[in-house]
Amino acid sequence: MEIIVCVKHILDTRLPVAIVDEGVVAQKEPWPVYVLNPADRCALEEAIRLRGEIGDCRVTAMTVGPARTKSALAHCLARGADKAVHLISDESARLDSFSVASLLNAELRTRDFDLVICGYKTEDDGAAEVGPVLAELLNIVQITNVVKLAIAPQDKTLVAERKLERGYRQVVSAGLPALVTVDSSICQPYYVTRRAARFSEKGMDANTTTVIVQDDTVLAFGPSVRQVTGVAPPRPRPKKIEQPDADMSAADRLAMAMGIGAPKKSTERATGDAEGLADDIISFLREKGLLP
Amino acid sequence: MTEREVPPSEMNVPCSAGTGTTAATTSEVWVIAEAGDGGIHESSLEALGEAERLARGIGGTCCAALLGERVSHLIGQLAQYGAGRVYLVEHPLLASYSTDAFAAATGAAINKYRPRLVLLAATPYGRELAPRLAFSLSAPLVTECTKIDLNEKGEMVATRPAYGDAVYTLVRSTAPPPYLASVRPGFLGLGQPNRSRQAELVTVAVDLDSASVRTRVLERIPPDPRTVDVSDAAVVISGGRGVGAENWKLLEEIAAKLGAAVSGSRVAMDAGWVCRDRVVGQTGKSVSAKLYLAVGISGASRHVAGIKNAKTIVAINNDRNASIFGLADLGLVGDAREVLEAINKVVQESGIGAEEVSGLEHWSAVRNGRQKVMIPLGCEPGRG
Repeated sequence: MEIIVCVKHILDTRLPVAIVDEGVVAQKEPWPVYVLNPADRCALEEAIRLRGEIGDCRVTAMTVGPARTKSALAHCLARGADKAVHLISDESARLDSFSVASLLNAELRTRDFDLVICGYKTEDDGAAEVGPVLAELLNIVQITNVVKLAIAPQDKTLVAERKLERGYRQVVSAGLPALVTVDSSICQPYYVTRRAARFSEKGMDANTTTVIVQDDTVLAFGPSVRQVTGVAPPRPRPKKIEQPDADMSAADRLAMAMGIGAPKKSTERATGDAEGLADDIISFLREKGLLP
Repeated sequence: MTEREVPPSEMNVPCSAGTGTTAATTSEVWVIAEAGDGGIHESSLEALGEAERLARGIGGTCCAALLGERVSHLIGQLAQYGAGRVYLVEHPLLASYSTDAFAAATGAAINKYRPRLVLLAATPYGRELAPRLAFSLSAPLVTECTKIDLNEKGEMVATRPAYGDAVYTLVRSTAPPPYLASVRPGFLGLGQPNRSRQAELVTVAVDLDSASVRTRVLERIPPDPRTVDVSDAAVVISGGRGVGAENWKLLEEIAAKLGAAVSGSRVAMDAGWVCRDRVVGQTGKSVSAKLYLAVGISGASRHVAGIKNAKTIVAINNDRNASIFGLADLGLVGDAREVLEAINKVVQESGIGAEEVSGLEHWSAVRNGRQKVMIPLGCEPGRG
């Protein structure tokens, strides 16, 4: 079984970022600090956990980026990945998600794989696009925002639990090969010491495949379909517009519809002994329909 | 080290040189409406407001595409929030969301009617659908926008936050339309519904193959109050300084019985009663619960900033002049410990919440692998 983990080396967003040129974000002082994207780190950790369960399984970390991203792969190898693939592209900062997915697709099509795991979204750009687009290119199933993952290697199926809104979860099953993007709450990644990372960087050439993406190949994609043109101030959050809803009494709703405005809150205040107060609160909640 | 170079011919066709962009687009602005349990998803309605504004700008029509199995009763709601025309796509395979079926159906509808701009809500479903749709349509996509405009050349200029919302970037799409954008929930604001508005209905027939749906939904798990994010929980019990370390267990017990999520004020976090992820207030989470029960919290403005969106607030405090009573629907003046004990007794006697909140037991076997660090309940691990 082959698991591919796609990772990205990003600017550490815990440090202040500054806007240097038009649309270019960087860290100025003292020098830019790059880290492995937290969700990708969890994706790798999850892949390693699956490898432990399955047994006969190899984990390959893959990234697109300039020469500096080698340290991200060294980190992945220190974490326990078996192999690393580096698609070297000096233009990667200019590539949009679609081009990155195309590069990954071109490389993945030359390999055997059963499962591709990506982080749900990066902390820098956070478009959450590469995973789904890569799935579309490879013509395989995708499951995004996964918080639990189990694989049955003999049936070639996977079961994943994914996050929906308001705390709801959904359990989905699909056949392999598949692409899964994981949320960073899927696991707590181990701490990798700097020494271990440096040690793995020394010997990483033996299990790293380097693919040089020619610059003109990148440009063959044509001009980027998107252009970052500038930086805008944040849009203020909207004011809440009071609207009639089902919880309000008929009189209040009528008042709102007639333009009198939202009803004012009137606080009932209860005093007395604890038992009386407890009864008050329970009957109040029953009255509001919050308790059966 | 093995090295090799990729010849250009091995590359897949990029989206900028994709297919199907030759046909001219109309001046329609679409919203892919998401049908939920209680009608149209609020974020889709927010997107409709934005779509109406954009359609007015280019002299076009604001339209909504509604996908589902039997969803025609929701057309009225879409019309009230600004849709002038509703494209109704009904098919048994669209009964519940699956990326394969929805991407195919939406893509077919867009290819047929060629709108200029298509908006989606960046909900979990929308985030999964948008990139696949964009790629299959060869359309430029900007996700999680907080503002969308069309410039004088008709190109889409969208504002989107990046780097943990530290910067907002303006993204201009240079490719020809159709354009795709997903809007971030809660940022655009919901417009006032106009109950007199009617929408023109266009029924779209799609041909979907059940073999093309490659995922199967096994179950939908309702939120477990013990682990749910405080800002998502329906019922929240929050404790402050007035509760005290010795009574915190009691508060958690009551919360478990009522199926409520436990949170705390900043004081409770500093004392170590709740973890950082469950602090409510200006520097913590903001709740939008149906019921917020504040125990031993005085109602400092820093805390109140996080509970403004709660529907019903009940406060227990021994200071009758505490400022939280000004905000609460019901205020109880009494000692936190005594009232909590009394509530616990009443709850026990009346058998409220007797059934155990269903956990994820069947999953425990999956998880126990490498997880060695004990994480407090509800604390989602972030960076390692």
